[in-house]
Amino acid sequence: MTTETILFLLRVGSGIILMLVLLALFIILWRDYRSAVTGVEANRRIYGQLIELKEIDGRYLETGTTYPLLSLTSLGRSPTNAIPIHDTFASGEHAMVALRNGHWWLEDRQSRNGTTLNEVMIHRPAIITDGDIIGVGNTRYRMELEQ
Amino acid sequence: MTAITAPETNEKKSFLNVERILLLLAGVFLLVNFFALAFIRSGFGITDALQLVVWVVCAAAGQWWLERRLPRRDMLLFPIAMFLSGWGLLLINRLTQPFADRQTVWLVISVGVMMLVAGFPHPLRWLRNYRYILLMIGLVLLVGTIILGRNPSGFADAPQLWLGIGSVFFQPSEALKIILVAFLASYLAEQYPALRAEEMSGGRRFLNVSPRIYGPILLMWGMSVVILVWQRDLGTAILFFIVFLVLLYVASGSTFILASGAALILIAGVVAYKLFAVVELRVDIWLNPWPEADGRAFQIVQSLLAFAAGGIFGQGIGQGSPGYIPVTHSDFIFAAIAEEWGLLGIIVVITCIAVIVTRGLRIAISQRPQSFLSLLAAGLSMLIAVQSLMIMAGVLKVIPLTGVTLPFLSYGGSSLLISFIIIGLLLRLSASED
Amino acid sequence: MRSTREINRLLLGVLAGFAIVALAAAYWAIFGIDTILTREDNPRLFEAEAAILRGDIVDRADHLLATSTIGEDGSVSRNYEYPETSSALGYYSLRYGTGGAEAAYNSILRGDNRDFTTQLLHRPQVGTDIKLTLDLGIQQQIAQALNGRVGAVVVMGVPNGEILGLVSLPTYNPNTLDADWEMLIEAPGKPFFNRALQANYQPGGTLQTLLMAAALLNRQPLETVIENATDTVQLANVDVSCAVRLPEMALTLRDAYAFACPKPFEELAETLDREKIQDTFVTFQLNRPPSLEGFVPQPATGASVTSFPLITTDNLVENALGQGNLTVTPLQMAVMAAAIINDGNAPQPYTLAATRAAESDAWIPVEAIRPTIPYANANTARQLQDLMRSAVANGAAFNAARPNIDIGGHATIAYSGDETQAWFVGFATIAGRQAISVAVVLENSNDPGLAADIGGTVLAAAHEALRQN
Repeated sequence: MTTETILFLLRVGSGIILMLVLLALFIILWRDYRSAVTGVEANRRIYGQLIELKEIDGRYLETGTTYPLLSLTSLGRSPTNAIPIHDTFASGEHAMVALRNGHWWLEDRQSRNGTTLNEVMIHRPAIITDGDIIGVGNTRYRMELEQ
Repeated sequence: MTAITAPETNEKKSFLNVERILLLLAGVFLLVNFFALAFIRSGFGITDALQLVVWVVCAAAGQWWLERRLPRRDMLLFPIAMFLSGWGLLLINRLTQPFADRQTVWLVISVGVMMLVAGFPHPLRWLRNYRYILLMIGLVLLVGTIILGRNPSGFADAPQLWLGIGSVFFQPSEALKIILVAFLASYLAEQYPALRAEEMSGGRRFLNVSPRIYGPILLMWGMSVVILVWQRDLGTAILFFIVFLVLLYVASGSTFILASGAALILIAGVVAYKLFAVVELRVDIWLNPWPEADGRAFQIVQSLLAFAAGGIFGQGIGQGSPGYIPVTHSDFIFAAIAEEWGLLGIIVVITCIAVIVTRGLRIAISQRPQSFLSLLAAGLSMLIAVQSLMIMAGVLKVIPLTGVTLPFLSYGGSSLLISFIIIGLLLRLSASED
Repeated sequence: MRSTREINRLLLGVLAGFAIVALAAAYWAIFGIDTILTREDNPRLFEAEAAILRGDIVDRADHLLATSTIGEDGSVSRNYEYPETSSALGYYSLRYGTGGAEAAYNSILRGDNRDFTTQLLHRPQVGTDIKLTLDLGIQQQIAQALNGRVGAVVVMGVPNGEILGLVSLPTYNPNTLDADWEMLIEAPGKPFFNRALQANYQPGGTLQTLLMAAALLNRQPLETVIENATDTVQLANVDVSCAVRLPEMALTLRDAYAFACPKPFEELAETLDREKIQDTFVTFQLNRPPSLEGFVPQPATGASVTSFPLITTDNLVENALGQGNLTVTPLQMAVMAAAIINDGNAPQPYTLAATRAAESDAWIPVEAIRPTIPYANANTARQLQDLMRSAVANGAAFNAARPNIDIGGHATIAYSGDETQAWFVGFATIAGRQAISVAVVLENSNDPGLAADIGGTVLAAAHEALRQN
C-alpha cells in the first residue's frame, strides 16, 4: 500500500469520525429534547412558587429570585432551610409553608420578629392562597399557585 | 429544563456514557490525524506522541474528576471542549510546530484549572461576594497592560496586549472577560427589581431612565473605548460591549436597550472609522478586498482561498496550503480547518460551539430562580458565542475582521485557559449546587 | 427571574449567526472553486504548477531535448540539453510562462487531463512526453551553418509536411531564462521573436518563382531574349538589382529567374497585368501564411489573412518584385518550395509526431488529417522544379549545389529600408515522392550566395538524415 493510499484512507477515516461526531451530537440533543418534553409530566408535582419581593416606595418588586413551592417549605436564616434568608431580622428556623388537607398553611415557628401575612402579624397557623404576601423580616414572598 | 443533567437511569451504570463516547470519538479523530501528519512528515516525533498522550491523560483525568465531583453535570460541555482543544493542538502542531509544546503545557494548566473550578467549594458564591475586589483586579490588570503591555512577537507597532514574566506571557484582557461577566451578572441581579419595575407594576414598557441603568452602560462603553484607543484591540472592545448589552437585555427584557446599544456600536464604529487607520483599513478591505489582494487585503483573500481550496471534504491534514495565510495558527485557524477538513470540518466546529452555547443558555434558563447564576451562565455562554461568531464571520468576510481568537482552537494560552474556566463554571452551574 | 423569553431570543439570534457563518463557508467551499480559486494570485496554483513534473521532449530519433528533474529539495527544474533547439522548443518558466513548442503542447506536457483519482490522492501531476518531428542533427547543422548570423531557417519534409528543422537567431538560453529575462526583453535582436514563424519579411526576388508560375500558366515564352535584362529597377524608394553582379546584358526569362534579375519580371508583371498575378498569389496562399499553432502568440484570430485586393494597378510592380505591401514568413516560403517539389500540392506543416503517457514506454503516434492544399498543377510544378534546378546548376543559387544530391533552389535579395535580406528557397529530392524543402533568410546580408550555401548544407544534412531510414 502506497503512502498516498494510506493518507487517503486516513482522510476518509477522519471524515467519517467527523460525521460520527455530528451524528452523536444530534442524537444526544434529540434524546435530551425528548426526555425534556416527557420529563415535565413525569416530574414530581409542581405546586407553585414563592417569589421573592422587595418593597420599594410602597410597591412590591420582584428581586428575580424564585423558589419552588414544596409540600413543606421552610424559611429561615439557617442554610438548611428550603428558602434561606440573608436577613438579620430572620430567625434560624423562622416559618414554614405546608400543604395540609388540600389547604396551604403558613405557620410561624416561634421566631423573634414574627411572620406577617399580607402585612398582618400572624399568631397561629393561617390558610393562605394564590397572591398572598408572606413577610419574614424585611423580605416578602408572593405565593403563586399552579392552576 | 431538568434534562440538562445526565439522566440517572441505566445509562449511568454502563461504562459508555455520553461524555465517554464523545471523548472516545475525539481521541480516535486525533489519533487518525496525528498518524496522517506523521506519514506526511515521514516520521513520528517523540513530541507528537507526547502531545497525544498528554491530551488523553487530560481527558481521562478531567472525566474522572468530574464524575466524582459533579455527577449531575452537563455531559456535553467537557467532551466538546476537549475535542476542540485537541483539534487546536493538532492544528498548531501542523501549522507552527515549535508552538505546539507550549500549547500542550497550556492545555494541562487549563484542564487543571477547570478541575479546580469544578472541585472548589462554592466558587460561584465567591465570585459574587468578592466582585468589587475582582473588578479592581481586572481594572488594575487593564491599566497595567496599558502601561506595561508588550507583544511577544516583538513588533513595535503590534498591539501591546500582553503582560510578561520572562518568557511566559498572559493576556489580561482574557481574564477581564470572566471578571466583567461575573461583576455584571451580580450587579444586574441586584438591580433586577429596578430594571423590571415598570414591567412588574404593569406600567409603560419604557426605559427606566435612571443612573442605575445608564451608569453601567456608560462605564462599559467608556471601558470599551479605552481598550480600543489605548490598546487598538478592536475585537475585545466590541466583544465586551456586546456581551454587556446582551446581559442588560436579559436582565431588563427591554429591546430598546438592544436597539440603542446597537446604535451606540454603529456610532462608535463610524467615529472609529474616521479616527483610526486600523478600523478604516479593516472596513475598507471588508467592503472590497479583491483589488488589494496582494496588499492590505492579502490575509482575508488568502483566507477565502483556503475555504475554496478545502471544498467539501478538505485536502486532508498536512496536504493543503494554509501556510499562505498570515498568523493562521491564531486568528485564522478557522480557515486552516476549512482547507484541510473542508466544509465538513467547518460544520463540525460550528456545531460544537453552537452546542456549547445552547447548553450554556439552557443552564441559564434552568437557573432562572437565582438571577445571579442565570445571568452568569448566560454571560459566559454569550462570551463564547460572540467571540466565535466575530472571528468566524470575520474570516469569512461576512463582517469586518476583528482580531479575536477562536475559543479552544486558536493558539494562545490565555485564551485556552479562560475558555476552560468558562467550561468549568458552566459545569458547576449545570450541576445546580451552590 | 423572568428571562426565559429573552434567553430564548438570544439563543435564536446566536443560532442564526452560526447558520449564516455556515452558509458563508458553504458558499466559498462550493462556488469558490470556480471563481476565486482560479485567480492568478492564488499561490496554490503557483505551487501546483511548480510541482508538475513536465513531460520530456524528444526529437524524431529519440534524442532527449528537454526534461524535468526533481532536485534534492523537491523542487522541479526544466533542463534543455541542446541550445541549438531553443528557438524551436521555446522555453518553460514558472515566472514567465511558456514559448515555442513548450507553449504549443503545454497542456500535453503538463498532463492536464488527469483522472479523478490522481487528484483525490494528491499525486503529483506528471506530464506526457512528446516526440517532435525535429531532427537534432539537422538542427545542429543549421546552427553551425548560420554561425550566429541573424536570420531564420525552416526545413520541411515532403510529402507529409513535418518540420525537421527550425532555427531563428538570435535566440536565448532557456536554462537561464529567469536570470536573463530583463536583458533578453531589452535585447536589440529581439530573441523571443521567432523569425522563422513570425517575421514578416519583404519577399523581394522570392516572388519571381510565383511570377514564373503565372508566366507558365499564361503560356508566356521563357526563351525570348530580353534586352537590358540586368538593369536595375528603380522603385519609389529602392533600387532593385540582380542577385549576383552581372554586366549589362540580355537574358532569357529563364536565365533572368536563375540570376534573379528584376528587370524582365517588371516587364512580365506589366504584360500579365494585375488580375492574373493576383490570382497566382492567391492560389499560392500568399495572403494566408501557414502557422504552427500555439508556437507564437497569436494577436487575434483571423488577423493573419491579408485583406483584398492584394495587388492594385498602382502597386503592381512593387508587389510583383516583392517590395510592396506583401510580406512573407520563412515558413511560408518553405511550404511553397514543398508544394513545388510535391507536384503543386502544399503539405501543411506540423511538429508533433507522437506522445507517450507518464510511466509508459509506448509512443502513440499523433494521427491527424492534414490535407494538402493545391498551389499549382503538376505540370507547372515540374517546370518550376526544373527552373529551380537550373538556378542551382547555373545561376545565383549555385552555392547550394552538393554532389550526388538533386537540389533545386532560388537565391535572391529583398530590400527593406536600408537593409537587405538574402533569401534561399529550395528543395532536395530523396527517393520516390520523398523530398525536403528549405527556406533560409539572412538579415543584413546582400549575399544570396551565402544563403544558398547554408541552404545547400542544410538540405544535404536533411537528405542524409532522411535517407538513412
